[in-house]
Amino acid sequence: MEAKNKKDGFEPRIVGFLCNWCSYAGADLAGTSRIEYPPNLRAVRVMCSSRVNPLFVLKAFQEGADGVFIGGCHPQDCHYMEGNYYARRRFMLLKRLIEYMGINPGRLRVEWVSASEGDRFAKIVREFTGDLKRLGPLDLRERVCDGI
Amino acid sequence: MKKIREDDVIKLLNELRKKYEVIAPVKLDGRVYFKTLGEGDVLTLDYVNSVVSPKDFFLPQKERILEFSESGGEVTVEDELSSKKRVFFGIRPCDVNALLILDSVAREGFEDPYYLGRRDNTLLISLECVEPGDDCFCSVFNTGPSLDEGADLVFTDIGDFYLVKSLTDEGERLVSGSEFFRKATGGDEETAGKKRKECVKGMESLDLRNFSVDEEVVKEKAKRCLYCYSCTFICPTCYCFDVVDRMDLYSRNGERMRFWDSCMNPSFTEMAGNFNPRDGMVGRFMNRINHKLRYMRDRYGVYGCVGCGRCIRNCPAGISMLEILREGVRK
Amino acid sequence: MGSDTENALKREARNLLKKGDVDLVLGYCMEGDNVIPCFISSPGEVDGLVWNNRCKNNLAVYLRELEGRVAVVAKGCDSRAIVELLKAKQVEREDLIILGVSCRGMVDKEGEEYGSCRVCLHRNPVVYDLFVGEKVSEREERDVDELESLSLRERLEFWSKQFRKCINCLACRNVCPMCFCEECVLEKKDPEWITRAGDASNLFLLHAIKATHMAGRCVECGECERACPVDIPLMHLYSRVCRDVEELFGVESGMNLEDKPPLAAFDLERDAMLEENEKNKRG
Repeated sequence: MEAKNKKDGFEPRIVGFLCNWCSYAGADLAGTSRIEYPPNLRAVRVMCSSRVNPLFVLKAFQEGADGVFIGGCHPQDCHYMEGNYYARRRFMLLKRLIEYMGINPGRLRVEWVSASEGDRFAKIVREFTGDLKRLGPLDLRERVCDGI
Repeated sequence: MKKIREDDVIKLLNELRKKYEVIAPVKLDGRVYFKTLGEGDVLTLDYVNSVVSPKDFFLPQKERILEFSESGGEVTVEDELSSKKRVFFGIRPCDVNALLILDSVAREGFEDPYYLGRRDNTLLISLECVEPGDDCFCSVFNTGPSLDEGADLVFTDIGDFYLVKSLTDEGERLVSGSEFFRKATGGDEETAGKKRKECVKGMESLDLRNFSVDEEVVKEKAKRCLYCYSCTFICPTCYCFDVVDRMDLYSRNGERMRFWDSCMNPSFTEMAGNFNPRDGMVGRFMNRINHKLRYMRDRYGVYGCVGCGRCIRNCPAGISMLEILREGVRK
Repeated sequence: MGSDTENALKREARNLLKKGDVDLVLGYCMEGDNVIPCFISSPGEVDGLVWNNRCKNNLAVYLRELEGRVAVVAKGCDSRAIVELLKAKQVEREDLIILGVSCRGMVDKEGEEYGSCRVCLHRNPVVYDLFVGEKVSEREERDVDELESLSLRERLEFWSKQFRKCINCLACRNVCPMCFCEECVLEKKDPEWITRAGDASNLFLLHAIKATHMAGRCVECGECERACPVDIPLMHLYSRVCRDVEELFGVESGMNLEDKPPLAAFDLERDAMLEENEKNKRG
């Protein structure tokens, strides 16, 4: 907690919702290929990116996540044919909503990562972690409750 | 009797803040709420009544009643009883009477130590009304606009001064221990009396001796009720609550929380297997009215409504408790 | 406001009831000096019907509960709510006779126009079987949302301050004509996403989630704001989401029976382009 408050030593906490068929496999490939990337992302495997309810994202922010990552199959590659199309619309909207409510939309990142893109997955996580380090901690609960 | 200058009220409260937690009316976005005074809060004396009833400070919307933890096979439970000394300034006579009703509920059978802990440690300074609000009907139940019991001190606006009447020893001690109070004259008391009379004149008067709930009328109104149940949340005498245990991920430590519930919510009476004895919307509405105007009277000898008018002001479907009373008398 | 409209309304209502075309007329009448929603089932009661600038309630909210054929008085927002209810198959079109009326904005007891009416762009009913009175001219442009000029930090502060007032009564949900789910996520117990027993961050979550559920659904009648005992400017939130849906997916809620629910549809090429645009703007 203490390191969290100091901006230099700040390690962002990222919750990642990864679709079973592409992004999760991509993350797996990054691992088996021994590609190094920051350990800040905690992966949650879901069957499809459209399984991710906006509620999950908001709940993650409430419970202390500094960023949320959603990974799905590339458009036209969805295992369920059209799941990621719904997810795409949904999270475009959610980004705008959280921006309106005062959360930087950059804290929510949606990417399409295939099972063969292990290096790309690692790159995205590196980038996202860096972005969040620049943004600093979100501390949504504290800020809402105490008005700091 | 004593009196206090209007400007001195703020000084008095600031003085009291050194020893007590002081709760007083404060404006927020143009409307008045009761709030624990902190640095920078500006007291307001220009209000009919607060948006949310003062019960929030005695039976809060949510509160932790106990904490429990388990380690090495041993369970410890810790009660969260409040013994903080508080002064509640500006509570209206109707709301004081509402607290008296809540008292009888909290003292009946099992005592409610959480509520009573707050109640016993809070000094009430009531502010009598000299001008009725649009939706006020306390005169019907005799729960206002003047007050003779329930508070420790009663202030009455008599122009530049407030006339101060102390009803308890504790109130008396507060008055005698402060330099802001001065002696009131007979004239002051006369002015106060006149103002009280004026105030009642502008209000509804109903003879409740012949009152009974007219079920047909209530059912008719129930049809347009939207079951938003905000009335039960802002009501000063609604006391129903729900209790849940919240555990940590390992089910070792937890807290028991209590929070407001509403009889207008279908899940209020829902049982296991989704059975609901009070299923219909009309039945739920009926229960609320009967509880306020019939069951409470049978049980505690007073009506469960004090005429603060909050529910009338806020009802999106324009349902008026006063109208129900009128119809009940008319019959 | 024209009593001509009121008389015409009474005439139509009486006709419908006399002919037996409907079992019930859902409209407004007076109680004391209050305008309230009323349910009229016989021609003799029709004289009680009123139409003036205090008829604020969105009558569509009652439709799901009513049985038989109903004639409903509908201004702009009521008719839009009816369209949404029809789209969601919550009411049957053949059970409804919509008496369209145009609205000039509703006012409260003190004569002040409601916030939702001040910004309203659809005062004429969008769907009706019978139209009563005269059409009114519509405002062309929307007001600029003053919250948009605030920084992210200020916005979060603003909303946090508003939500800390919230007493969790859920009146905003309960009065909403669009909230008809059998089981509501805001009250779900297992898993309990949002707890009534928790701190203010739960209220942030509650209102954010409610806003996402309003996307492409809210008809901006303002009932939630009027019902809120502590005056949280909820319409700002819901209007924002609806504007976003409109801007992104080109669907305005309650305007067209043929529109698909925007979040249960997609347009491959357009969405890909949108995604690119949004990414450039919002990261």
